[in-house]
Amino acid sequence: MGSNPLQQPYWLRSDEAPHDVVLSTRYRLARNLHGVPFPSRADPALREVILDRVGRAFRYELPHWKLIRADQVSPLMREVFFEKHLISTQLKDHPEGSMICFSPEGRFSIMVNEEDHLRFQFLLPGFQLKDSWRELVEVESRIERWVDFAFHEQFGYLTSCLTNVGTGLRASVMLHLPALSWMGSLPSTINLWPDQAMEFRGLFGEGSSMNESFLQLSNKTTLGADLETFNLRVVQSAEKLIMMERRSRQQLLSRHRLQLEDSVFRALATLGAARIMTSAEATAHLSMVRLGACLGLLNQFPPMTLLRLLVGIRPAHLQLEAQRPLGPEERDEWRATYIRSQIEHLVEDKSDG
Amino acid sequence: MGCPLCYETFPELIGTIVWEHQGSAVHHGRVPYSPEVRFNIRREAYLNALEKAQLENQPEEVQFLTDLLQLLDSHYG
Repeated sequence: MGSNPLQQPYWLRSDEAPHDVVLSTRYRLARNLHGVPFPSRADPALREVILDRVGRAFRYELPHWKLIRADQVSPLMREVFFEKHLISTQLKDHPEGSMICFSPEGRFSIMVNEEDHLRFQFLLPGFQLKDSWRELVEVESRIERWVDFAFHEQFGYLTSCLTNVGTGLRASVMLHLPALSWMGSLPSTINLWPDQAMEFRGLFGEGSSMNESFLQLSNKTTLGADLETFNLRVVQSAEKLIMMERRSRQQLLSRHRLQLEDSVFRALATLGAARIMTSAEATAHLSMVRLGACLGLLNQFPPMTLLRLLVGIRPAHLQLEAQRPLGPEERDEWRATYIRSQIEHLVEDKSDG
Repeated sequence: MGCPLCYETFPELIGTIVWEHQGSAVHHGRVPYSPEVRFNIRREAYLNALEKAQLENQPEEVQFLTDLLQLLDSHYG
């Protein structure tokens, strides 16, 4: 991302650690300032004081980070940041007295005065849950040199919502599970998941649809164990799901190859020819094409490119591309045009190669 | 919750709710620095910042950081 938050964040830019099932890894750490009302109860003047205190910590500890006041960013750009998973729905919709901080390489984004005073986020491509949370804690420690975090001996790090109190850590992975979805076993897999401390959400987190083959898996609880343990439990659940998805993919290849190839190539043909396309339809087709690419049926489509396309077709990204507001019908037309051009590029690149 | 002080004021009620939600009401693992370590780390951070502000010729920031250092020393020094 460099110093320009308009560029792609690291998790969408880097080809580091590509993975067939896990699209991205995310850590989020919630922290609050000692003795200060949580943002929902802080008046505008107090929110400014919080921004000033946190801003000073950044100025001296992380001087190369880019700090942006959320209420000075256009609604469209906030929507773009949301679609890139850099900010939450709450900050997108309620930017007053809030700030977004971006690290120079685009791996970290920190929301100030969101639900909590500080929401540290660490986003990586692929499956990198193992030890990555330590880097997030390192950033947190730099800020802690300047501010005291609200902490209680029994409850741990205090948060605005009781579901985050304790470690304040949420470790999550964004999974692509098209084979489990195809075989109809995804709903039961989720509903009967043995570790009750895990939570499944849709592609865009809380409240988003879980009807697609893209899911987020994260720890539901934040209290009662240390960071390592919570992280390990998410790793274990993620590895189990990865194994199940890979097994289902192999079953599809061995038992239903013709139907699978038909679906993959139909999806590709539709993406390459359609003149109107809704977000849901495009997501479903891109999911099939990505599955085909991961199984070696479509070698000219790198999974990372398809991931970027998946984000690029979202409403705010299309409007940014068009440089003007687009109504829903116009967006469907722009989306189809954008996908066709991207597919043509990929096919041409392969032909040239 | 409205404020971190709510946790101090209603520990029993919050403990019950947290237990129902999370299956535990006791924190494990990472804790903030002890007051002694915090004092040393913060003092070093303020001194480095003061040096930088002096080098960059920012009198208002120098004054602010000097006040901050005095406040820190009076609290913990």
